[in-house]
Amino acid sequence: MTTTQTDLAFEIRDLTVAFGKGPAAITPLRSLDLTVPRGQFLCILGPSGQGKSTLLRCMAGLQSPTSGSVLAEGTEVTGPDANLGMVFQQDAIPLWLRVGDNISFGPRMRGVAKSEWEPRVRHFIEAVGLAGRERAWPKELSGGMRKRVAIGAVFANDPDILLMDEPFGSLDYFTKATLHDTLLDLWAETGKTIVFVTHDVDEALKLADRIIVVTDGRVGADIPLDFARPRGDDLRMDVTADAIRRDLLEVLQAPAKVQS
Amino acid sequence: MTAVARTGPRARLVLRTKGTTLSIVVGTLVALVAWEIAARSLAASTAQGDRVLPSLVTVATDGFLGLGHYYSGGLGVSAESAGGDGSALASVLALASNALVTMSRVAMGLGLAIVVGLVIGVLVAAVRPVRLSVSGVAELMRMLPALAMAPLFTLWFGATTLASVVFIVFSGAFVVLIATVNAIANLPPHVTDYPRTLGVSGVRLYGGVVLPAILPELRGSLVFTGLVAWTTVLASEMYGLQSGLGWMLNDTLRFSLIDRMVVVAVVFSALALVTMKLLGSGVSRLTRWNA
Amino acid sequence: MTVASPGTQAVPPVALSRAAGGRPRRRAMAGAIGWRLLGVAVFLVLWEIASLVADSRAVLPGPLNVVTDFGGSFFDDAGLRYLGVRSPGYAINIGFTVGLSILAWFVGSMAGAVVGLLSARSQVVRNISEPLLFVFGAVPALVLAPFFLVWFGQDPISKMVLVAFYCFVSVGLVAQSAALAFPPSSEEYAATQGLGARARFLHVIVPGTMPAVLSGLRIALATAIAVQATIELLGSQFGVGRLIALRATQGDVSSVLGLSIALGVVAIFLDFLLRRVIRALTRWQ
Repeated sequence: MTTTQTDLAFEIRDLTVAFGKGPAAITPLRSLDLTVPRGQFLCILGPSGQGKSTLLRCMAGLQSPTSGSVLAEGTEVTGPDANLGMVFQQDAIPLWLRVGDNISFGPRMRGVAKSEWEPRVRHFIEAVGLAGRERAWPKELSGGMRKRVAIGAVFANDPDILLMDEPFGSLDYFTKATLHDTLLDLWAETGKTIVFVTHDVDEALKLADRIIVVTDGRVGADIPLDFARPRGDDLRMDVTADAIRRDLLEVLQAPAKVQS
Repeated sequence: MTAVARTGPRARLVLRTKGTTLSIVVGTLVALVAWEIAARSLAASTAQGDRVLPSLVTVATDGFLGLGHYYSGGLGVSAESAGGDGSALASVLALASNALVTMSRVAMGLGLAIVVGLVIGVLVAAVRPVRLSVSGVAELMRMLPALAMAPLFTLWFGATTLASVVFIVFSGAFVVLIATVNAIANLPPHVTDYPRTLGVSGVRLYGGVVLPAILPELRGSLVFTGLVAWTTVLASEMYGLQSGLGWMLNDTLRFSLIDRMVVVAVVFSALALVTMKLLGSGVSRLTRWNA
Repeated sequence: MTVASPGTQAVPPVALSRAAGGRPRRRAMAGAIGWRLLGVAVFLVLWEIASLVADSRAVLPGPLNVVTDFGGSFFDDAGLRYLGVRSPGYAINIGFTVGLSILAWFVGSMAGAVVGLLSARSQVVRNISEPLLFVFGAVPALVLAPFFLVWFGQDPISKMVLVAFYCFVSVGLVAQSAALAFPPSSEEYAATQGLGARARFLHVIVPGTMPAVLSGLRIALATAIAVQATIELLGSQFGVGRLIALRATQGDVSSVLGLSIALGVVAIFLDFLLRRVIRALTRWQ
């Protein structure tokens, strides 16, 4: 498959991020190269503290690279932007806005005409399963429902790219499973590019078109997943999937090399 | 993307500013220069100018040297041999002796206020009805204009250090009490459950577990009580007492001697500033284990 | 089974009970008020007993004495009027003191909140405000009162300026610390939704820190009234502080107590009103 500049959601070259100076410096990313085609569901796996969140934050414009470049759809990423939507690990949605106002937060604040955003917002409220709860305060919702608000809000703002930083990390198994399905439905419907960071191998196997592992500051493994969707529990029986799973676990559990 | 135009580069997100020592130093210098300019232009335009807004030079000389007569002995040098007004030594001794008096009052009052507030708070926190009734009273007492009640304490205890100390305790203990009660009520149960499963109970539990556990939440209130103590000692000394920096300030006020007032105010402020910062960092050190 | 991750904000149990049904919480609240009132009643009884033991109205008048004396001078006081005191009635002086305090508190606190919040995000504002907040966060603003007295006399405006300044510093520090402690992820989220710095400040920082700032405002009000009265002690034509000073020179403990308690009662009432307003503004919490 030939990829031209405009077919790439992300083009990352020689990305290096270093914190601090001298012997105590930490370099979570070292000369990392990565290209992400449009419309792909990419999962970034990695052991904790090995740079995957840093990579995502560079892609979102929340972290400046020490050196190297990050291009999103051909343009350099210099700061956060409405086209680079993000779902955070913590609850980042404003607690002082009701669900409906939360999901319409982005378009309203950017001055988009109500006639334009209203149908979209209404659609996504329904799509994330919060129809009828528009007047609820976030404090009245469970953790899983607040994640739905975050997902609905980011889709309603219509970015081309969605970045997700371990969004389901704090949820229980069943809530997570339902949210996976919701997310995959929305992705199929909208065709956006999704970059999803997680440390859960099974989650990555269920969601992704492609898994990369960030170890030692670089892309350590780059594995395409060709399994048919929807992927249910039968994926566990699949021999290829199991092999990939074991390989990934091995890479993830390998002791981290000393950062220098 | 349909409706939204791709915007240009955005500025880096500023999520936290930092306080810098430089800005404080520069700010102070600017204030001093502005004062001096105002003082000199006022002196040039009116006859009384130098009295109302004395230049910093006047403050440092006449103002400072005019304080000698406030020294009445006690620091190893007798009042007569110190020299009285006009003697730098006398002025230094005057400021030092009165500063010591003021600081001792603050220290005693603040210390007592904290101890009383903590002890009563811990004692009543366990039983809900007692906790509610005591904090009900404490919350009402806290709303009294304690500062304005300065004359009351001199009426009751005379123009003595005791009056000042009791006044400080009255002003500050309720703040500490209420904060302690709230902090204990907010403690998650496992903080005490776990030590109890180890067999810790009674005084050891409260002194060794509950008190350190609530200290982070008390930090703001403790620092606030420090400020209350300094404000209260100033009010008590300005109103009725016959020693201390507040008394010196009030006495120089009676003759509108701004140059001397400035010297006393600066010494007082410097002391308050240093002790308050020490208090803050002291409490921070005690709670450095807190995430 | 949910495993809470460090950054997730838990739903407070109070909120869950309110969602579940208001009655258990309301009953608990009524009980709480009942115990508080009982505590106050016990305190008043103990006070009365102590005054009977002291057996000297000059030293410790009982609550009944205080109330009677206060009521007697509420509208006018012949004794003070004879001494040449203008408008000696307690009511009008309380109105004067409280009125000025509220005005000064409002202006000072609003300015303090704005500067405090801005200083947490704009380094320029921080650099300018830092000397003031650093110094007067630790030095009592009362130290300026004698200077104001010399420069501006007993002019009520100068008193209000000092009270406003105290509130400015107090609320400014609360606002600054609330904005500095605000979770970064909320602002980052708003940025990824396309909000610029100004929009983030107005629509994320301001509403997000509002509970803490309003709480600081509440605390500042009670102290503003006390500071106003204290400045009046030093020298004033009107106000409760002036009356306290006069009564103190007469050795009238009962009146000093009565006036102080009256101010306290007004402060409690205003605090109650403010808490209502705050609760309406922060229903989302």
